[in-house]
Amino acid sequence: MKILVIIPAYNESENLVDTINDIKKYQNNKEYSLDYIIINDGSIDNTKEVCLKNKFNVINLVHNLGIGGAVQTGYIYALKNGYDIAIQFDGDHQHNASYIEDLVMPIINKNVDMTIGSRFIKDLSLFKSTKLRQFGIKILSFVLKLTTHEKIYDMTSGFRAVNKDIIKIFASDYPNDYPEPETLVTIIKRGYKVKEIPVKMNERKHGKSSITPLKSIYYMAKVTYAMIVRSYIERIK
Amino acid sequence: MNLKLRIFLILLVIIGIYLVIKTISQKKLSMRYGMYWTIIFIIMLLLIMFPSIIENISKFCGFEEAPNMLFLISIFILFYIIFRLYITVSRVQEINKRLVQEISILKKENGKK
Repeated sequence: MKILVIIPAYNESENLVDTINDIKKYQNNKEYSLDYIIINDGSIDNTKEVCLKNKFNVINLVHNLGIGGAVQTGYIYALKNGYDIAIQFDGDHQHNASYIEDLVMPIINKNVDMTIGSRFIKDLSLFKSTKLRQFGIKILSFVLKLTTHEKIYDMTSGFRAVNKDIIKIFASDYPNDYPEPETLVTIIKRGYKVKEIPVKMNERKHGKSSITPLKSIYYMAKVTYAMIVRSYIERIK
Repeated sequence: MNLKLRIFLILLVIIGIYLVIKTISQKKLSMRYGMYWTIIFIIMLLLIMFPSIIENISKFCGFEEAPNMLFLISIFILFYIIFRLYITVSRVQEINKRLVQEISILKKENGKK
């Protein structure tokens, strides 16, 4: 089993070293081999230099594409290099590499096609983001229930693992912005099994989250629209 | 229609056609889109020279005033053109994204050797 950890990074030079060191701790496993790839999304800080200095495995995008395009580059790379499982992992060290095994094992055992690291299904996480954001996530969870009849609690978690079939789907089609909830609709509508795995997430050490309060209304509207339209498109296919 | 106004409008249309051909020659506009705009200007030219066309059609369709029909049709056409523009922009964005991804992966693969 070849596993690839995809780490999208935009101006994450301060967090990236911690993130990679964390992942490297879990690279030795009998069941699988764990590689990682950083997708440097045209950072304007010294992310590129940090990668070069530490000899990190990195793809430097020649132009900024936004989170969707960056993550998709990782899936294309995974497909080209024959990986069996791909894991999305944030470059800001919000995710803990210790949970990679938990996320990967259900896919290796062929129980499910996709796993999501979830903050909400067991009380592992002290950090669960703000009340307002949790409310937004609840709404998205409700929209998913309406469109697919499946219940996922942590709709916006960027800590996810997928099998080869889904790597193929994501490599050919991936939303440009706010991809997480929309891709869940696609995957579930196509009959793949998704499972949430309890994980602990950290608060960001450096830098800011990409979603400001002002953008959150636009975020909710866009994501809800995308989920409904996507579910319709998948149904008429 | 007043003769002065008519000459003024005809001049505007001719300037329009001139600008289209100039932008084509500067390679800022493709021949295909240039042709669309030229056709629109030629239709405008015909309508200015023979305004009775519009009056007859609008009477036939039941409009009270000819300009009402003209505005309605113009707005529809503008909506359509802008929508087409959005489609083109989306396609170009997608192609652009694919190119950035492909070039970046190739650069990485070449760097290994």
